Amino acid sequence: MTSRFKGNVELFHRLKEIFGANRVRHTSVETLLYAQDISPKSLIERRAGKTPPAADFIVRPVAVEEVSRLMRVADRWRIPILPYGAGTSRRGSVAAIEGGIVCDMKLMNRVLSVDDESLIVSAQAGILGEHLEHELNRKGFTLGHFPWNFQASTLGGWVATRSAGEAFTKYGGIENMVVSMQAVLPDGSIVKTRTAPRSATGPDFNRLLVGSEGAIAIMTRIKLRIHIFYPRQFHVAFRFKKFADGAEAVRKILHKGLRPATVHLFDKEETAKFFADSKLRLSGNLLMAVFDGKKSRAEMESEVAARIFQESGGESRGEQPSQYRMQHRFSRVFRNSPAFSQPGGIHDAIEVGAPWSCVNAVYAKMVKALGKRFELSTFLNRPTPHGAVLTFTASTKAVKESDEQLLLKLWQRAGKAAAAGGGALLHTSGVGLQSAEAFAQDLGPTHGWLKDFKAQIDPKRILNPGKLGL
Amino acid sequence: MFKKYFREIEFCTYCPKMCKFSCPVGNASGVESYTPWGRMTLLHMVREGILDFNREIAYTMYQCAGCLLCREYCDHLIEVPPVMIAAREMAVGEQKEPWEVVEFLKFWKQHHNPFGDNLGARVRTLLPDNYFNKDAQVVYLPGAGHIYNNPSVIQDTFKLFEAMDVDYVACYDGEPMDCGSVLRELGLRKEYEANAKKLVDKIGRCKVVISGSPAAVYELKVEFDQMGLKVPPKIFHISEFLWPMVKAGKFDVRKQFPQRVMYHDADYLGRYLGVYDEPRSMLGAVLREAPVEFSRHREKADSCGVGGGLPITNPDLAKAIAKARLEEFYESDATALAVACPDAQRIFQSVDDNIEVLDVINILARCI
Repeated sequence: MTSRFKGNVELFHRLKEIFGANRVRHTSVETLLYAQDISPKSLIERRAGKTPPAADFIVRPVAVEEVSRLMRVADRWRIPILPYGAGTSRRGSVAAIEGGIVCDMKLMNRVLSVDDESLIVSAQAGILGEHLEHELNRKGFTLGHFPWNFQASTLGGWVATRSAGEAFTKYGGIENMVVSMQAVLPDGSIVKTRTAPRSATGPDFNRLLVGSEGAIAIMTRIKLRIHIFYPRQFHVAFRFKKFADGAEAVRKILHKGLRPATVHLFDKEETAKFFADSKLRLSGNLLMAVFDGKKSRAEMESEVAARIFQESGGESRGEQPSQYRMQHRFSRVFRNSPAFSQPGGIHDAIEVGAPWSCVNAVYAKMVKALGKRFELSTFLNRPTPHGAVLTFTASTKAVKESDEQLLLKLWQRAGKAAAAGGGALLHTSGVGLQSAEAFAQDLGPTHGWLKDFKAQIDPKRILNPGKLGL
Repeated sequence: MFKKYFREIEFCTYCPKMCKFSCPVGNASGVESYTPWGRMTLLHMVREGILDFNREIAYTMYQCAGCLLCREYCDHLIEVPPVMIAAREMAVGEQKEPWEVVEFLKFWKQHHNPFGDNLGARVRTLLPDNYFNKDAQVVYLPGAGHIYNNPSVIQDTFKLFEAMDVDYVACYDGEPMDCGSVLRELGLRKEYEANAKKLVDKIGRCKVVISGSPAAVYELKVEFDQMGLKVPPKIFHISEFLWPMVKAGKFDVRKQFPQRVMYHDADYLGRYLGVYDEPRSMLGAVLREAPVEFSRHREKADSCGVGGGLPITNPDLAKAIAKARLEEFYESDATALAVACPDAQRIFQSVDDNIEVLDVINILARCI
């Protein structure tokens, strides 16, 4: 589809007035690159030489006022605005299906203040996650948010996609961290939510914007809860004969009130894959937990957890496996490249959330549904006292079907198996374009409410059209 | 080049941008196509016939500081800078290189170094005649950047030699004076190789070459060697040459250096040559306290933006990178920034001439 704005000189000059010549781009080289994300579907298309729909312009604001002026221009021209962070969506969130202007937020990348009395950081939305955490660590704090794309995602992206990191058990998801924010609405108005530890007055507008995927407002500044950073961590690792035994041991420690920062229970396939390059000789179902915080408490918690793991049939493997995992925690993501570099290869991670009463059933049904057709490895992570997430990593080479068909088959089978076991697909990295239909189905009639709200706040459908099914 | 770097281009294209945060050019510009993923994906699209290798893409290939920091965060240990250099050679071959490169080449052809002036003549004014000996087996090759911007490093180097009774090192003053690393970085392969051959004609007979320029050490030790040129059997950065003597007590510290010093790891010295300890140890010998470290240091040190020919093709961006690196220096209690690289010193000083940027050699010489 050719956009009606391509080569629009008047619009180009208007954008240059706002951003200056250096911060407006419009060539096909740039717009095509910005249209690429890293979802398996996009990678398959890239491998096949297909190009996604691209925007017409890219702008890079440095101040909230510029975003506001951009919105007014977009309103006048009825041109879509596509908020852009690091471009690591796995769900087609940056696809410019109706053309438009990419609003790349990465120059708004500063930590503005650290309130060490209230433990609140204020940062611009375009800051990369790793940079934010590094800055906080230097000052003696941590956000405690480490999603899989921690090194290549922005704060704004985290909030827009309601992301959760591996330290979710202790620190919660990004929704638990947001204190307040500044955002620009489609009419150009700049809104700020209140900075208070908690409010009982009416709906929480932070919650409305968290997970809104750039379809309701563009977030420009976010205040977040932070914690004292204790570099010392306490690691435990135990081998279990059965995956279910390990899962039960995790449930027990959480019900006892322990709060490890991270918990990972690898099934034997994941253990074999993850530790393939290490010198540690590990096999079987491996449970690893990390405790952080004040030394006396973290140490004590790790000892109690170790005792429970042992009583649950676990066999201690010392600290090293967990330390190794922590050091290589993003390595799993690197498997993408060799997988997609092979003709016909696909690689995807499917996350299923399940209450504890269904975790084992979900695991069994998913393995049964996917294990024969796909090379499958699984780990349990982000547990709470009420349930956990099971991450299934599937890869294969296409044989009879096309790559797209195979990917579709993977998700269809996964959806059925997850539901049959009592779990739900989590649509990792938000909804975007690719999960929009499934999201609308999941929400049922309440998706209509969301549409009504969108129509009120963005009547011209300027912001990120098509995402969230809006 | 597409065949040679097939794996690199494939792996980066399908990677979820895991090194993105580390790229100084991507960070300072905020431009997606300037990140390792962006540049490699563009090459992938060229290879697959989706895009033409036009001037815009050629220009984008020059937006890399060659710092190798991306490799440090890559599980596959992909090295992006060599791919960029190959793409630049392609650009030059197709006459699609940026005009800055064309202008630089004209300048180089006139002066045979990136700075202008007759650097050999300048060197001869820095030291007494007895330091020059065309038949010497152990030669000090001054960095062109030192000659032009901070000649005191060359003088101080020989002061240190004297203080440690090293009387067998002669200073090189022939032509060419420059190792030509910038030519290679800009994709000017033909001129680079010609310059390399000339330089090796002059110093290839030596047994030992020492230089204060990490780029010169790298070119001689790695690139010239890979070209099949007969390079001297031993090539050292000055810190590698001096530290064993300092350690052995041959350097008499008359006074300690009074300031708090922060040390910056230069890209070529660190990630390319793996020299991290020697400059620190030398500083340790004369400082009251150990040098202050950047939070990202050694293998993970942020770049100063001076590599990859970036100061020629995008000087504002190069300076923005240096400025970003200095932020942590400003926050620290250090009053001097130590480097062991003439190019790093030059760029830091160019973005802020109010701060004291000293070569490790300068610091040691002040303690004799």
